[in-house]
Amino acid sequence: MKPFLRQIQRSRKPFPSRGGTEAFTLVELLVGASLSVLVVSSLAAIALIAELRMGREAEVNQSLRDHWARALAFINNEAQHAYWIRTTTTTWACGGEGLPQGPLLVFEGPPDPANNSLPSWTVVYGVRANGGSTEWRGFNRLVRCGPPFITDTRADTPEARRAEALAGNLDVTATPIESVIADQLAQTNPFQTQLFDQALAKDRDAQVNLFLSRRTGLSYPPAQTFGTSFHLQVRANRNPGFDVTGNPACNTSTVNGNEEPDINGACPLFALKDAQTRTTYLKEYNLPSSGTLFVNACGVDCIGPKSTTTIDVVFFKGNSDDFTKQFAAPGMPNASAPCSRTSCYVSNGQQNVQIYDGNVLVFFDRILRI
Amino acid sequence: MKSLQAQEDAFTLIEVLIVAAVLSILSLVALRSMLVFSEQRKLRTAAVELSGYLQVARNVANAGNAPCTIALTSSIGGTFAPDSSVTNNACKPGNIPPAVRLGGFAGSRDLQATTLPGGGSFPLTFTPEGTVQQGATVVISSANVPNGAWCVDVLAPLATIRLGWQQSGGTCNYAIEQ
Repeated sequence: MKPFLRQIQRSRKPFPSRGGTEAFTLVELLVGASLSVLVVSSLAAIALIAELRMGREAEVNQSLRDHWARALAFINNEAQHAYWIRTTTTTWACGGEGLPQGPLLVFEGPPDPANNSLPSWTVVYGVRANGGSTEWRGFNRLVRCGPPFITDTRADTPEARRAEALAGNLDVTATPIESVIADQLAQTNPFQTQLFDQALAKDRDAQVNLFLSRRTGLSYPPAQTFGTSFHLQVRANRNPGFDVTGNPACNTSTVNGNEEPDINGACPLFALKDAQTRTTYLKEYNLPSSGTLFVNACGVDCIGPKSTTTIDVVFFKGNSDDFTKQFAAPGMPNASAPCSRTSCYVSNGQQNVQIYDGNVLVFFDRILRI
Repeated sequence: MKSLQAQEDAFTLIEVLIVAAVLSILSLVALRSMLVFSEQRKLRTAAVELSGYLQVARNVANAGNAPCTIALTSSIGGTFAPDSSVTNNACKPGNIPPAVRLGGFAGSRDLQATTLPGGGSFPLTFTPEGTVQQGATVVISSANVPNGAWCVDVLAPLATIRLGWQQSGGTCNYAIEQ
């Protein structure tokens, strides 16, 4: 040990002095260096933590925007399958626990076949307070009360693909359940709804505003009247609006007969409307009473797609199960193959439609995308 | 006499040993904290990776207009892959990475993935609409992180994927912004 102690002893000798002033000892220098390391380390740690927080902040913001976009798309998609849209401020019973007082956004499905005065399904959107729950972020959350979705029949088989519709596959016989669509809603007045025509009890269109918030409860973007960046206009696409069979102008079979009316489709020249809706959203079905209607075809006697305007959305007057769907008409090549975008033959035994390059088939009870 | 004076000014062996011991203890404490911190970061990295994998699965179902099923399995190391027992699974090699190994990705040797509810293995199916009928939770833990674990939750019906922190002995807390 003596050499080691001697080494330390040597280390305590002062450095050569400058100008008569005593220099730092090695120990003093080591203490100073240690303090410097501590200070630099602390600063580095602070910078590192700030960097991590910034990264997480950006991540959370991105995640929030993603959730928000998906929630809006979901609501919009569900609205498209509705027959009517209305709003209410009364408490809504949902399973065991009712949704608090509104504003609530209500989507109603087509009339119940067993009782036409009632909708076949109802979906309600409202806001529930989080109340400091560890399950949800922010002060409020947007909840949906309605029938659950059927996923058992979503298998990717030709039969299922032909028979099933996107997002229209609600299990209407099941008890309504409450699901959370988005959290981190603003603390005050986060959910605003109003029908497009406020004089109506029900409408096909409604405007929705949702305000988000992080931590503070203050809305983001700042709460304004309708028209902010998180504004959403929803539209019920199921409602046919008027009775096509009552108007002879709509009974003419044309190539465009099954296209969205008032665009290029049925009854384009007539301002038809029922007592409760506007002409802007008219649509109807114009199937031939017999024979085959060719959509996007080069002609009745011609097989194959036409090269001009394409109709993407085809409307049918009836429920999906009322129609068979297959690749082509009986007797044609690959007739029984699954209906596809290339070719889809839809028939109820009397009315037949051969569609080429179609995209969406709209029935009373569901929408089928092919 | 001069030599004796020099010896009195020097540190004794005991002093040096004490200082060395104190420094060693402090270093060990700091090292352990660093290791726990590092392991926590690895767990979070694993949670983010799993979250991303599930998002890809959801997107594949969306884009392919067909259901995508991922097998959620409790395991050491945390390996997740498309459910090969499902016919016509839209999630198949070419559409999605064949498997994600969380432990290997994050560099954690002791990573444990536990599925909830009930543990074991079950399929999580994303519909073509990007929804799920039933949600699921995967808890990602490590023996080197005694104070808690990360939770990856898929919330029905929107298949919202979120991260939460489960304090030791508690439930997953998704209210905190991690």
